[in-house]
Amino acid sequence: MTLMGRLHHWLPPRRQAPHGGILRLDNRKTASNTTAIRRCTLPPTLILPIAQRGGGEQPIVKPGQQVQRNQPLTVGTFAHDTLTHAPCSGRITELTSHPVAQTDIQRQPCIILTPDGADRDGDCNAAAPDCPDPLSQPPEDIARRIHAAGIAGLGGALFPTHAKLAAAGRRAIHTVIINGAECEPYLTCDDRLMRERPQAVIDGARILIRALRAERALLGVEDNKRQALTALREAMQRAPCAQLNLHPLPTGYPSGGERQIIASLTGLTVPADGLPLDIGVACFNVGTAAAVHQALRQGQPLTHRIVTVTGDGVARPGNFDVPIGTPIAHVIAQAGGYTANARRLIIGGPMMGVSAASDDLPVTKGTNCLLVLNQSQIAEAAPARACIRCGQCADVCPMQLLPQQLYWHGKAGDLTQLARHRLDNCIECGACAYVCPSHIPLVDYFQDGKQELTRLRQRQAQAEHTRRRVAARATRISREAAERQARLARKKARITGSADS
Amino acid sequence: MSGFVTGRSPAFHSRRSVSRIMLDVGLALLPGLLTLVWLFGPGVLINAAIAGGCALGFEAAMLALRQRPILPTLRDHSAVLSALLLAVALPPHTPWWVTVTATFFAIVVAKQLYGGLGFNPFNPAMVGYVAVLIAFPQAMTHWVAVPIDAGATPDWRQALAHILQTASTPDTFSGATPLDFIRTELNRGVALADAEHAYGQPGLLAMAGWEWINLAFLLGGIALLARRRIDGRIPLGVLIGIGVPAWIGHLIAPQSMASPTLHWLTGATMLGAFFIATDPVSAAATPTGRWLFGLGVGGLTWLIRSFGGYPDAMAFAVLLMNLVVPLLDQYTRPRVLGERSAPQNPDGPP
Repeated sequence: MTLMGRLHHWLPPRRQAPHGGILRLDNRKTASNTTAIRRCTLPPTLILPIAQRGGGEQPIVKPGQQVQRNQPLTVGTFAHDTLTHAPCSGRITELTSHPVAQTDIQRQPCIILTPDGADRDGDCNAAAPDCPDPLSQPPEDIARRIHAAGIAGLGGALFPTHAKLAAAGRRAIHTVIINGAECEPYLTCDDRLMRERPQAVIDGARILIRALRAERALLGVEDNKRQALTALREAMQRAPCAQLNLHPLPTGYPSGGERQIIASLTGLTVPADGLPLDIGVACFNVGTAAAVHQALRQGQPLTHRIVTVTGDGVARPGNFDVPIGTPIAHVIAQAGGYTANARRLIIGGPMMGVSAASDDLPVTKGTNCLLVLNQSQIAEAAPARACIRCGQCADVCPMQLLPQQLYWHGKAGDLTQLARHRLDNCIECGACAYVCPSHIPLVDYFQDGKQELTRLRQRQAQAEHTRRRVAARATRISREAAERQARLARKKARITGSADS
Repeated sequence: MSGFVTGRSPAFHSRRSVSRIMLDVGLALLPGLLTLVWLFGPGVLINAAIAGGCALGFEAAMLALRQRPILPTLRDHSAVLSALLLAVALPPHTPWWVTVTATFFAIVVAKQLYGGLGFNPFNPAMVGYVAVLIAFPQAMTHWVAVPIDAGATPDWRQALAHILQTASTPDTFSGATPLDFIRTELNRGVALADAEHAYGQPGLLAMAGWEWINLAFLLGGIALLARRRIDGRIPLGVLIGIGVPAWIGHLIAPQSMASPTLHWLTGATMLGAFFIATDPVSAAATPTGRWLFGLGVGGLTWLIRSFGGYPDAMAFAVLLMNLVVPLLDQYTRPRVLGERSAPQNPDGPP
């Protein structure tokens, strides 16, 4: 471990204003942020997941079909879908299920595309169709074009960007937040993007202001990214815009959490049971802003993303512009392949990433980092001991939850108490598990607890639904009986009436 | 390539560990321990050795009976720390069988029978201390007499003889603590100032050496605070909880109620505030709960010292407050980020 690393472990966490990041981590970012973004070559096959974030996307291509670069491959309903486009021309070889890493690794239906090499690497942005200036378009059209470009939150959450715009449309949004905090160790894809394409980020921010009819956009960048801050500042001087403000954020994990960055930049607190939109704020990752710029200025749908490939387990760490669907193995090969001691592969950062057993998974729109650790780095794992109630977890929790109480209630299976202690507000940042002196895998417990809660609520909703149906049926039966009675009575009255006359 | 080792997130850890925390607390006891040796001779070290050895033995035996891993658990250093706390709390020449009994109650009854480290509702060292205080009051009130002349401090041979009871304790070596003495004098109707004077050689603050012990424990406590090994709310709460009522009492009745300084710097005040009450397992867990817990320990200590049947009261105060910890935790849940209303009544509907 480096000297700074030791220092970081020794120093007590810095206490800060009520929200924002408070955990000081050894950031290890210089491994990958000193070289420019490299272009990743096309792999022999691309694996493109159809469904994104549980949306109802359906494929509109068949096996054997020839597709062109940027051609949409899926269709969905506007509300929640994210379209997928072909990163290159080629032939659809198969529609099959393949393991994909999202919150965990699961088999999902995928489109397998074999590139035909008709378009060269690197001419992605050529031949833009005529793009109307988004800054003079109606906001609804901007949302429609973002939908057509298949853009989703590139920070990793993959929430469809147009859906956020649509949801915001019903509320008054005053502030757009562009999140360039990138607080997780090792990750540098946003850092490099801001350094190399600051204009794209800034233009994307302006388009998003327009799309939301907002008053301003605040760009938050952790103050350890000096070069990114300088690049953005210079770009903002070249294209001045009074609505844009750049703010350095104090470095500390997790300063880039949505509610944390909103609190740091605006001083506003998102209600615990609400959304940022409820307080007039919408938050986007810098990568998303750059993707919006590419889509609306150049007509380029989201087919590539920047991925940090790093860790002591890869030979030449760096950032790569990777076609969506590229198998991880291919990306790692571009970074010089694995070193002899590579032992663990993490998709995402070291705090929140998913550990994978195999590298045949594809890069998705949410893959921001491929981290390969070697033997010495994973040997640190110690067995869990009993909780000593030291409370360190509560001190570092950015949501001000009580991880320790949640742990006890979770162990006891007390779902009522879990809900009451607001397990739903846990952002799974891992700060609690990081500091726990008993090495308890708290995030695992919380993920399980959340699933249990979801199941309980589904059961309750189902029971409520059944109850309503039974009640409705009883009402209908009694109403029908009453109507029958009335009909009979009327008939009887008519008969007796006519007999009388 | 496949066959990567999978694991949970986060992939890294701060390297904080239970063993490290326990070890640091043990190290922070050293200034106090050395001051005890300087004032009362090496008896406390012999007690520590007896208690430490017994604690490891009892813990290992109980873990074996409970079919739990033995060596990994012993390595968390919690048993040795409890033993060390007991040793500095007991009088320096406590007969060996008293120390053994106290350790038995601490480790076997208070800790392992409740499920081991993390599950004990009561502070193990204080359970052990109170058990022998009630069972063997005679042995527990005899401290080595202070004042000390050069050469009057018992040496290794004498200390060992007293502890193993191969020789009867000469009167010159036994005496009462200042709290005990002042209490007796006050009960006889002697004014506080006279009682303090009569206790003997005035030390730095007229407490005949006890102020050094408390200042030494305070030093260790500050080191723990600086390294964030303990939560500062608890010791501060204890000191305020003792200081405020003592100050008011001393204002009202200066001839019969001891001053805050006397309360802070005699007896087990600093040891209790920084090392005993801060045991996270048996203390409250929420921030507000920890303030209340500390204040409660301090307040009860002052109350029992001033009006109760025992000269010192830290152990009783800690155990009494351990009793209300579940209640404190239940009703002091902090507000979650963005939560508008105060936390709901925990017994109310979800």
